[in-house]
Amino acid sequence: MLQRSLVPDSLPAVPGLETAVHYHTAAPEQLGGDFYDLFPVAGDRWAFFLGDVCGKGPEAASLTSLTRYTLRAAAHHDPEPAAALATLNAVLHERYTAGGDPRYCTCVFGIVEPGGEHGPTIVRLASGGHPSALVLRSDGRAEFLPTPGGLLVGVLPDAPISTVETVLAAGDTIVLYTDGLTEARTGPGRDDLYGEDALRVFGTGLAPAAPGEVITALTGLLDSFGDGLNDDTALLALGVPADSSLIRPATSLPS
Amino acid sequence: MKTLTISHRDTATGPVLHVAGEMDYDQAPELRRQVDRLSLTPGQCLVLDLSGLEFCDSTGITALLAARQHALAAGAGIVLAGVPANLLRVLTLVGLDQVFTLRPDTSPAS
Repeated sequence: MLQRSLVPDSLPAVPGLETAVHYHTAAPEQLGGDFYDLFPVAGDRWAFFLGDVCGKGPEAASLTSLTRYTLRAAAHHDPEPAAALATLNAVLHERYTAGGDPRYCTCVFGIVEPGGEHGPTIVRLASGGHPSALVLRSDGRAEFLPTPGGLLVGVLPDAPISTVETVLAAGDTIVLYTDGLTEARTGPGRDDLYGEDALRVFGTGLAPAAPGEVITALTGLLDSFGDGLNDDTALLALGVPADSSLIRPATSLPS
Repeated sequence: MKTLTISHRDTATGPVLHVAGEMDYDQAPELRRQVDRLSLTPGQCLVLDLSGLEFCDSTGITALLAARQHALAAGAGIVLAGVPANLLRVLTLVGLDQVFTLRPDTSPAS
């Protein structure tokens, strides 16, 4: 299935981090939609990204494919998040928008430097028009990492890209998601949406939680939306184990 | 589903398209067709009056961006007028409030 080439079957094990993912497919007959990846780059760092392409069907699938391979190549050339997204923006703009066929994606791209026993784990994110990442802290707080001002990737030749940095302490987990989650309908009207405020409250109820727990809980939340969940939804969580002796390999929860 | 209806009038400063109904994957191509038929001249301003738009998904937003590209290629400008609150929220979320000129009212460009 082509969809299989658009997201990895499972994530690689990252030393010093726990990871978990989930991909919900709204319409199995339609390809495309959301994407994510996680891979090593130079300097004991790991790059990860998650995003959402516009449109549906084969056009969206080809855009997803171009996006994934461009980001992978860009990250090996310069893993700085803003640089990787700037490269993607230039590629998508040249390939589509400049020719009168605008296609674009929202994307959050991150670099994580696992600290292990030697220091803090630092995450740097860049966002192009993507919903803010959520961090569940070990002390029970849940907070967004706002990246205001970032623009849909591929719209303008030189796009503003918003960046943010945070430190993950032992027991902290960062969650990336696509807007299928926050735009899920929770009422009869087209404007009755789940929303970011409800997600933060949900995260506060979970925190502290390891990535596997967070993804399991969010998967249950997605299921609870029923027919209100009408878009593909990707979830990716990275966390520093509260007890480093308990590091588990990546888990992938099929839809 | 409500049908997308687009009405066209010409003003001294350029065409105004009044876009009403629901603009989704099935119906967004109609806006692209109508915009592609417009012959804009340099210095004109295309106004998309969205005050009657009840729903707009990502393919609808793509059609708005295609309209922008069409206007810019002709040396014309583009204004989104009367953007409904929910669409404004989405446009702001993805940064497009920086790309489009937005006007609360729906009078022709001045």
